Amino acid sequence: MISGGLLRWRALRLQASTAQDVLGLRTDAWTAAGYFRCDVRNQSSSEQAYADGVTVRRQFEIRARWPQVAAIGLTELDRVSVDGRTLKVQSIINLDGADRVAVIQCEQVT
Amino acid sequence: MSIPLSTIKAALKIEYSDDDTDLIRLRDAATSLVARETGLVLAPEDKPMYLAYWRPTAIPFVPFVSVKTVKYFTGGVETTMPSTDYWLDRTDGPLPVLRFLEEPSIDEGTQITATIESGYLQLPNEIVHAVISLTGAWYSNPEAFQPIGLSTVPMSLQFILESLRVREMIR
Repeated sequence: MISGGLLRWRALRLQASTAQDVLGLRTDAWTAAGYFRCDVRNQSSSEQAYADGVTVRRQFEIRARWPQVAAIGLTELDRVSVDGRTLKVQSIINLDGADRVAVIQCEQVT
Repeated sequence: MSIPLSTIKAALKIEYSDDDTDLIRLRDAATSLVARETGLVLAPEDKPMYLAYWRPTAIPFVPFVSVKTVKYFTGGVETTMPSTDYWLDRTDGPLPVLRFLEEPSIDEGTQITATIESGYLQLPNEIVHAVISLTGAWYSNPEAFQPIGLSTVPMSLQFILESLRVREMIR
């Protein structure tokens, strides 16, 4: 389980729109779909070439109680808004398969 | 008097209801354990105190509210002692001492029963916090063994229990 004292942030699940554009691609529209309390840690930051410049890629790890994450139905297709950042969910791990702690790997998109 | 589940869930930052039954069980167990560890009467309660004969007696129920009745059997009849026949001495230590001005005869094989009103009408915050922290500890660690090391938080549960304990006051 995770200590309640660590759950300092309130994260918002952003659910992807199912609408498609003319090319059949997912549109960049998101709907707020529930909050969950979590712990956010910056895992790493790295430089990457982007267009004619460079950008920084930031990886985050979010930890939350598994029942809370399951209750709001967070999936790898969602985004998470927390601590002023929007994060792309890369993986959701049910730690030890124990239904106690969810470890969510994310990358910052905005 | 139990601490509202909503108070515990807010403190532990639990925003789902899946584990409410578990949390209620843990809360009740924690409350009971805090009461036993400290010796405090957490809910308003009329506690009986039995005496074999008329003797000054420290009232061991904390927090003490009042002496409701003193009853005894004389001539086969249960009799209530007038409140003017006993008094509370608060000068002898932290616990009030019940002293008797009259010592009527009591039937052999019977006892004197003093009914003591005690207990908190509203729990102090330190007790609420002790119950919350114990509930949270058990909720996060339901098993007796863990494959990881756990540390106690300084000035938390044990500190609160030790500072609230009333056993030392009882002579």
